[in-house]
Amino acid sequence: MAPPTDEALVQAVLDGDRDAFGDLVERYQARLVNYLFRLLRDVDEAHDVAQEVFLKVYQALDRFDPRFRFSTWLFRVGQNAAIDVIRKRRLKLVSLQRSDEGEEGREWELPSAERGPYGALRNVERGTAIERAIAGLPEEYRELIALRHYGELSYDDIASLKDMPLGTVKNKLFRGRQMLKEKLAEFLVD
Amino acid sequence: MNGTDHTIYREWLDLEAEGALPTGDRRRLDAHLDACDDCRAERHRLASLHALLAESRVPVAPGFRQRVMTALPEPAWEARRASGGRWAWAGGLLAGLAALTALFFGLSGGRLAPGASVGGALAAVGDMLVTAAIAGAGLLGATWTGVGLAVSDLFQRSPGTAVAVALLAVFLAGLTVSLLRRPRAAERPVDRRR
Repeated sequence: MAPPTDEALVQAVLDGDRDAFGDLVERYQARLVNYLFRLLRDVDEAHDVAQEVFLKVYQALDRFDPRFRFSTWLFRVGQNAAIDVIRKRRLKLVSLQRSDEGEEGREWELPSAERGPYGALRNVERGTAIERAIAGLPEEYRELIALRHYGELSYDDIASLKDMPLGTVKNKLFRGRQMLKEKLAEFLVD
Repeated sequence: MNGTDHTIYREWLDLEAEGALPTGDRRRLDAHLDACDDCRAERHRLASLHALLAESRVPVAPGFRQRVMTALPEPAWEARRASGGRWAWAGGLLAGLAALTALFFGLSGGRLAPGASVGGALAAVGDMLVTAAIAGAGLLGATWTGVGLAVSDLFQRSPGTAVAVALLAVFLAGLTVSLLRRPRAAERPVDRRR
Protein backbone atom coordinates (compact mmCIF):
# COMPACT_ATOMS: atom_id res chain seq x y z
CA MET A 1 0.00 0.00 0.00
CA ALA A 2 1.32 3.42 -0.92
CA PRO A 3 2.23 5.62 2.03
CA PRO A 4 -0.19 8.45 2.71
CA THR A 5 0.57 11.75 1.06
CA ASP A 6 1.66 14.74 3.12
CA GLU A 7 -1.69 16.33 2.48
CA ALA A 8 -3.53 13.24 3.73
CA LEU A 9 -1.44 13.25 6.90
CA VAL A 10 -2.18 16.92 7.47
CA GLN A 11 -5.88 16.24 7.11
CA ALA A 12 -5.61 13.31 9.53
CA VAL A 13 -3.99 15.59 12.12
CA LEU A 14 -6.73 18.17 11.67
CA ASP A 15 -9.28 15.40 12.14
CA GLY A 16 -7.76 14.60 15.50
CA ASP A 17 -5.07 12.00 14.74
CA ARG A 18 -2.12 13.56 16.54
CA ASP A 19 0.19 10.65 15.68
CA ALA A 20 -0.12 11.49 12.00
CA PHE A 21 1.95 14.56 12.75
CA GLY A 22 4.63 12.24 14.09
CA ASP A 23 4.70 10.60 10.67
CA LEU A 24 5.26 13.98 9.06
CA VAL A 25 8.09 14.66 11.51
CA GLU A 26 9.63 11.28 10.71
CA ARG A 27 9.34 11.96 7.00
CA TYR A 28 11.04 15.37 7.09
CA GLN A 29 13.26 15.44 10.16
CA ALA A 30 16.50 14.38 8.45
CA ARG A 31 16.03 16.71 5.52
CA LEU A 32 15.08 19.68 7.66
CA VAL A 33 17.85 19.17 10.22
CA ASN A 34 20.46 18.82 7.48
CA TYR A 35 19.20 21.86 5.63
CA LEU A 36 19.27 23.92 8.82
CA PHE A 37 22.68 22.55 9.73
CA ARG A 38 24.09 23.83 6.45
CA LEU A 39 22.70 27.28 7.16
CA LEU A 40 23.48 27.47 10.87
CA ARG A 41 26.60 25.25 10.97
CA ASP A 42 25.75 23.97 14.41
CA VAL A 43 24.20 20.52 14.81
CA ASP A 44 22.54 21.15 18.16
CA GLU A 45 21.12 24.45 17.05
CA ALA A 46 19.88 22.85 13.83
CA HIS A 47 17.95 20.31 15.92
CA ASP A 48 16.53 23.00 18.19
CA VAL A 49 15.41 25.15 15.29
CA ALA A 50 13.98 22.13 13.47
CA GLN A 51 11.89 21.36 16.54
CA GLU A 52 10.67 24.95 16.67
CA VAL A 53 9.78 24.77 13.00
CA PHE A 54 7.74 21.61 13.46
CA LEU A 55 5.90 23.16 16.41
CA LYS A 56 5.23 26.32 14.46
CA VAL A 57 3.91 24.38 11.50
CA TYR A 58 1.74 22.28 13.81
CA GLN A 59 0.22 25.39 15.32
CA ALA A 60 -0.65 26.73 11.88
CA LEU A 61 -1.71 23.45 10.33
CA ASP A 62 -5.29 24.54 9.72
CA ARG A 63 -3.93 27.28 7.47
CA PHE A 64 -2.22 24.79 5.18
CA ASP A 65 -3.84 24.80 1.77
CA PRO A 66 -3.71 21.27 0.29
CA ARG A 67 -3.40 22.73 -3.20
CA PHE A 68 0.18 23.57 -2.23
CA ARG A 69 3.11 21.40 -1.22
CA PHE A 70 3.67 20.74 2.46
CA SER A 71 7.43 20.43 1.91
CA THR A 72 7.85 23.91 0.45
CA TRP A 73 5.80 25.37 3.27
CA LEU A 74 7.87 23.54 5.87
CA PHE A 75 11.17 24.64 4.35
CA ARG A 76 9.99 28.20 3.99
CA VAL A 77 9.19 28.30 7.69
CA GLY A 78 12.59 26.67 8.29
CA GLN A 79 14.37 29.22 6.15
CA ASN A 80 12.72 32.09 8.02
CA ALA A 81 13.59 30.53 11.36
CA ALA A 82 17.23 30.14 10.33
CA ILE A 83 17.39 33.75 9.21
CA ASP A 84 15.98 34.81 12.59
CA VAL A 85 18.68 32.83 14.38
CA ILE A 86 21.38 34.32 12.22
CA ARG A 87 20.02 37.79 12.85
CA LYS A 88 20.12 37.10 16.53
CA ARG A 89 23.76 36.20 16.18
CA ARG A 90 24.19 39.75 15.02
CA LEU A 91 25.34 38.76 11.61
CA LYS A 92 24.29 40.67 8.56
CA LEU A 93 21.05 39.59 6.91
CA VAL A 94 22.85 38.42 3.82
CA SER A 95 25.26 36.52 5.90
CA LEU A 96 24.42 33.04 4.95
CA GLN A 97 27.93 33.73 3.62
CA ARG A 98 29.73 34.02 6.91
CA SER A 99 33.18 35.41 7.31
CA ASP A 100 34.20 32.63 9.68
CA GLU A 101 37.26 34.14 11.23
CA GLY A 102 36.41 32.30 14.40
CA GLU A 103 35.90 28.96 12.72
CA GLU A 104 38.93 28.65 10.54
CA GLY A 105 40.44 26.08 12.80
CA ARG A 106 37.25 24.16 13.40
CA GLU A 107 37.15 20.55 12.22
CA TRP A 108 34.14 18.71 10.92
CA GLU A 109 34.01 14.96 10.91
CA LEU A 110 31.94 13.12 8.36
CA PRO A 111 29.23 11.11 10.06
CA SER A 112 29.71 8.13 7.77
CA ALA A 113 32.48 5.78 8.57
CA GLU A 114 35.86 5.09 7.15
CA ARG A 115 37.01 2.91 10.01
CA GLY A 116 40.36 2.88 11.72
CA PRO A 117 42.72 5.73 12.62
CA TYR A 118 43.50 6.58 9.03
CA GLY A 119 39.84 6.43 8.10
CA ALA A 120 38.94 8.74 10.98
CA LEU A 121 41.56 11.22 9.86
CA ARG A 122 40.26 11.10 6.31
CA ASN A 123 36.74 11.64 7.58
CA VAL A 124 37.81 14.74 9.46
CA GLU A 125 39.73 16.02 6.44
CA ARG A 126 36.86 15.46 4.08
CA GLY A 127 34.23 16.72 6.50
CA THR A 128 36.18 19.91 7.06
CA ALA A 129 36.83 20.32 3.34
CA ILE A 130 33.16 19.91 2.47
CA GLU A 131 32.14 22.29 5.21
CA ARG A 132 34.56 24.94 4.01
CA ALA A 133 33.78 24.39 0.36
CA ILE A 134 30.06 24.93 0.94
CA ALA A 135 30.61 27.82 3.32
CA GLY A 136 32.87 29.42 0.72
CA LEU A 137 30.20 29.45 -1.97
CA PRO A 138 28.45 32.72 -2.75
CA GLU A 139 25.21 32.88 -0.80
CA GLU A 140 22.91 32.46 -3.80
CA TYR A 141 24.59 29.16 -4.68
CA ARG A 142 25.06 27.90 -1.14
CA GLU A 143 21.41 28.21 -0.28
CA LEU A 144 20.33 26.31 -3.38
CA ILE A 145 22.93 23.60 -2.76
CA ALA A 146 21.61 23.26 0.79
CA LEU A 147 18.03 23.01 -0.40
CA ARG A 148 18.85 20.48 -3.11
CA HIS A 149 21.48 18.24 -1.50
CA TYR A 150 20.51 18.48 2.16
CA GLY A 151 16.83 19.46 2.05
CA GLU A 152 16.43 17.13 -0.93
CA LEU A 153 13.85 19.38 -2.53
CA SER A 154 13.05 18.98 -6.20
CA TYR A 155 14.01 21.67 -8.69
CA ASP A 156 10.36 22.65 -8.97
CA ASP A 157 10.00 23.00 -5.21
CA ILE A 158 13.14 25.10 -4.99
CA ALA A 159 11.87 27.33 -7.78
CA SER A 160 8.63 27.82 -5.87
CA LEU A 161 10.32 28.35 -2.54
CA LYS A 162 12.84 30.85 -3.85
CA ASP A 163 10.40 32.41 -6.28
CA MET A 164 12.86 31.85 -9.13
CA PRO A 165 12.32 30.60 -12.68
CA LEU A 166 13.09 26.89 -13.01
CA GLY A 167 15.85 27.59 -15.54
CA THR A 168 17.59 29.91 -13.07
CA VAL A 169 17.50 27.23 -10.39
CA LYS A 170 19.05 24.67 -12.75
CA ASN A 171 21.70 27.12 -13.85
CA LYS A 172 22.66 28.18 -10.34
CA LEU A 173 22.83 24.61 -9.09
CA PHE A 174 25.01 23.69 -12.07
CA ARG A 175 27.37 26.56 -11.32
CA GLY A 176 27.36 25.84 -7.61
CA ARG A 177 28.33 22.23 -8.21
CA GLN A 178 31.05 23.29 -10.64
CA MET A 179 32.54 25.45 -7.88
CA LEU A 180 32.28 22.64 -5.36
CA LYS A 181 33.98 20.28 -7.78
CA GLU A 182 36.94 22.59 -8.03
CA LYS A 183 37.17 23.10 -4.28
CA LEU A 184 36.87 19.40 -3.54
CA ALA A 185 38.92 18.13 -6.48
CA GLU A 186 41.33 16.15 -4.31
CA PHE A 187 38.49 14.11 -2.84
CA LEU A 188 36.79 13.30 -6.13
CA VAL A 189 37.40 10.24 -8.26
CA ASP A 190 38.03 10.67 -12.00
CA MET B 1 39.89 17.15 -25.76
CA ASN B 2 39.18 18.22 -29.32
CA GLY B 3 37.90 21.63 -30.44
CA THR B 4 34.28 20.81 -29.57
CA ASP B 5 32.49 23.13 -27.14
CA HIS B 6 31.75 20.83 -24.23
CA THR B 7 29.66 23.31 -22.25
CA ILE B 8 26.34 21.80 -23.23
CA TYR B 9 27.59 18.30 -22.44
CA ARG B 10 28.71 19.43 -18.99
CA GLU B 11 25.26 20.82 -18.35
CA TRP B 12 23.72 17.59 -19.54
CA LEU B 13 26.04 15.58 -17.32
CA ASP B 14 24.93 17.70 -14.39
CA LEU B 15 21.28 17.04 -15.20
CA GLU B 16 22.01 13.36 -15.76
CA ALA B 17 23.50 13.09 -12.28
CA GLU B 18 20.24 14.55 -10.97
CA GLY B 19 18.15 12.15 -13.03
CA ALA B 20 16.68 15.13 -14.87
CA LEU B 21 18.07 14.70 -18.37
CA PRO B 22 15.42 14.26 -21.09
CA THR B 23 15.67 11.07 -23.16
CA GLY B 24 16.56 12.80 -26.41
CA ASP B 25 19.44 14.68 -24.82
CA ARG B 26 20.60 11.50 -23.09
CA ARG B 27 21.02 9.74 -26.42
CA ARG B 28 23.12 12.61 -27.74
CA LEU B 29 25.13 12.68 -24.53
CA ASP B 30 25.81 8.95 -24.69
CA ALA B 31 26.99 9.30 -28.27
CA HIS B 32 29.35 12.08 -27.19
CA LEU B 33 30.65 10.14 -24.19
CA ASP B 34 31.60 7.24 -26.44
CA ALA B 35 34.15 9.51 -28.04
CA CYS B 36 35.18 11.88 -25.22
CA ASP B 37 37.48 10.77 -22.40
CA ASP B 38 37.28 14.15 -20.64
CA CYS B 39 33.52 14.08 -20.38
CA ARG B 40 33.59 10.50 -19.14
CA ALA B 41 36.00 11.56 -16.40
CA GLU B 42 33.74 14.53 -15.65
CA ARG B 43 30.83 12.14 -15.26
CA HIS B 44 32.78 10.19 -12.64
CA ARG B 45 33.77 13.35 -10.80
CA LEU B 46 30.15 14.47 -10.66
CA ALA B 47 28.98 11.11 -9.33
CA SER B 48 31.76 11.32 -6.78
CA LEU B 49 30.68 14.82 -5.73
CA HIS B 50 27.08 13.72 -5.26
CA ALA B 51 28.25 10.78 -3.15
CA LEU B 52 30.49 13.04 -1.07
CA LEU B 53 27.67 15.49 -0.36
CA ALA B 54 25.31 12.66 0.56
CA GLU B 55 27.97 11.25 2.86
CA SER B 56 28.25 14.55 4.71
CA ARG B 57 24.65 14.55 5.93
CA VAL B 58 24.43 14.56 9.68
CA PRO B 59 22.33 11.93 11.45
CA VAL B 60 19.24 13.07 13.31
CA ALA B 61 19.54 12.75 17.06
CA PRO B 62 17.85 9.61 18.42
CA GLY B 63 14.46 10.39 19.90
CA PHE B 64 14.02 13.59 17.93
CA ARG B 65 10.53 12.66 16.80
CA GLN B 66 9.52 11.87 20.36
CA ARG B 67 11.01 15.15 21.53
CA VAL B 68 8.87 17.04 19.04
CA MET B 69 5.73 15.08 19.84
CA THR B 70 6.19 15.62 23.56
CA ALA B 71 6.59 19.36 23.03
CA LEU B 72 3.47 19.72 20.89
CA PRO B 73 1.18 22.27 22.49
CA GLU B 74 -2.59 22.27 22.37
CA PRO B 75 -3.15 23.16 18.76
CA ALA B 76 -4.04 26.78 18.22
CA TRP B 77 -6.19 25.75 15.29
CA GLU B 78 -8.61 23.94 17.56
CA ALA B 79 -9.22 27.18 19.40
CA ARG B 80 -9.48 28.99 16.08
CA ARG B 81 -11.97 26.45 14.83
CA ALA B 82 -14.03 26.80 18.00
CA SER B 83 -13.76 30.55 17.69
CA GLY B 84 -14.80 30.31 14.05
CA GLY B 85 -17.79 28.27 15.18
CA ARG B 86 -18.72 30.93 17.70
CA TRP B 87 -18.48 33.63 15.05
CA ALA B 88 -20.59 31.54 12.72
CA TRP B 89 -23.13 31.11 15.48
CA ALA B 90 -23.17 34.85 16.19
CA GLY B 91 -23.45 35.60 12.49
CA GLY B 92 -26.32 33.17 12.19
CA LEU B 93 -28.06 34.78 15.14
CA LEU B 94 -27.71 38.20 13.60
CA ALA B 95 -28.95 36.93 10.26
CA GLY B 96 -31.92 35.39 12.05
CA LEU B 97 -32.68 38.67 13.76
CA ALA B 98 -32.48 40.44 10.42
CA ALA B 99 -34.91 37.94 8.94
CA LEU B 100 -37.30 38.37 11.87
CA THR B 101 -37.11 42.12 11.50
CA ALA B 102 -37.92 41.90 7.81
CA LEU B 103 -40.77 39.52 8.58
CA PHE B 104 -42.17 41.84 11.22
CA PHE B 105 -42.30 44.74 8.83
CA GLY B 106 -43.71 42.56 6.11
CA LEU B 107 -46.58 41.48 8.35
CA SER B 108 -47.26 44.93 9.74
CA GLY B 109 -46.95 46.60 6.32
CA GLY B 110 -48.41 50.03 5.82
CA ARG B 111 -47.81 51.31 9.33
CA LEU B 112 -44.62 53.05 8.38
CA ALA B 113 -43.71 56.55 9.37
CA PRO B 114 -44.12 58.83 6.37
CA GLY B 115 -41.05 60.79 5.41
CA ALA B 116 -38.63 58.52 7.29
CA SER B 117 -35.03 59.06 6.22
CA VAL B 118 -31.67 57.30 6.47
CA GLY B 119 -30.30 60.17 8.52
CA GLY B 120 -33.08 59.80 10.97
CA ALA B 121 -32.44 56.10 11.29
CA LEU B 122 -28.73 56.67 11.90
CA ALA B 123 -29.59 59.23 14.51
CA ALA B 124 -31.75 56.61 16.15
CA VAL B 125 -28.85 54.15 16.11
CA GLY B 126 -26.74 56.86 17.71
CA ASP B 127 -29.33 57.24 20.40
CA MET B 128 -29.20 53.53 20.95
CA LEU B 129 -25.42 53.56 21.36
CA VAL B 130 -25.57 56.45 23.79
CA THR B 131 -28.15 54.59 25.76
CA ALA B 132 -25.94 51.50 25.79
CA ALA B 133 -23.07 53.61 27.11
CA ILE B 134 -25.22 54.72 29.98
CA ALA B 135 -25.85 51.08 30.70
CA GLY B 136 -22.10 50.69 31.08
CA ALA B 137 -22.24 53.17 33.93
CA GLY B 138 -24.53 50.89 35.83
CA LEU B 139 -28.02 52.01 34.86
CA LEU B 140 -28.99 48.59 33.66
CA GLY B 141 -32.72 48.83 34.00
CA ALA B 142 -32.91 52.25 32.42
CA THR B 143 -30.66 51.03 29.64
CA TRP B 144 -32.94 48.24 28.64
CA THR B 145 -35.79 50.67 28.56
CA GLY B 146 -33.69 53.06 26.53
CA VAL B 147 -32.63 50.35 24.11
CA GLY B 148 -36.20 49.33 23.72
CA LEU B 149 -37.20 52.90 22.99
CA ALA B 150 -34.36 53.39 20.54
CA VAL B 151 -35.16 50.21 18.64
CA SER B 152 -38.80 51.07 18.64
CA ASP B 153 -37.96 54.52 17.32
CA LEU B 154 -35.79 52.99 14.61
CA PHE B 155 -38.51 50.60 13.56
CA GLN B 156 -41.10 53.36 13.44
CA ARG B 157 -38.97 55.62 11.31
CA SER B 158 -37.98 53.21 8.55
CA PRO B 159 -38.19 49.43 8.34
CA GLY B 160 -35.81 49.40 5.38
CA THR B 161 -33.11 51.10 7.39
CA ALA B 162 -33.61 48.72 10.26
CA VAL B 163 -33.11 45.79 7.93
CA ALA B 164 -30.05 47.48 6.42
CA VAL B 165 -28.52 48.00 9.86
CA ALA B 166 -29.09 44.34 10.72
CA LEU B 167 -27.48 43.18 7.46
CA LEU B 168 -24.55 45.55 8.01
CA ALA B 169 -23.95 43.94 11.38
CA VAL B 170 -23.88 40.49 9.76
CA PHE B 171 -21.44 41.71 7.11
CA LEU B 172 -19.09 43.19 9.71
CA ALA B 173 -19.14 39.96 11.70
CA GLY B 174 -18.24 37.97 8.57
CA LEU B 175 -15.47 40.40 7.65
CA THR B 176 -13.94 40.12 11.11
CA VAL B 177 -13.97 36.32 10.90
CA SER B 178 -12.27 36.31 7.50
CA LEU B 179 -9.56 38.73 8.70
CA LEU B 180 -8.88 36.64 11.80
CA ARG B 181 -8.54 33.47 9.73
CA ARG B 182 -6.24 34.89 7.04
CA PRO B 183 -2.69 33.30 7.15
CA ARG B 184 0.32 35.55 7.51
CA ALA B 185 1.98 36.23 4.17
CA ALA B 186 5.41 35.08 5.30
CA GLU B 187 4.12 31.65 6.14
CA ARG B 188 1.63 31.21 3.37
CA PRO B 189 2.29 27.97 1.47
CA VAL B 190 4.00 28.28 -1.86
CA ASP B 191 2.12 27.68 -5.07
CA ARG B 192 3.39 24.45 -6.64
CA ARG B 193 1.45 24.87 -9.84
CA ARG B 194 4.21 26.90 -11.40
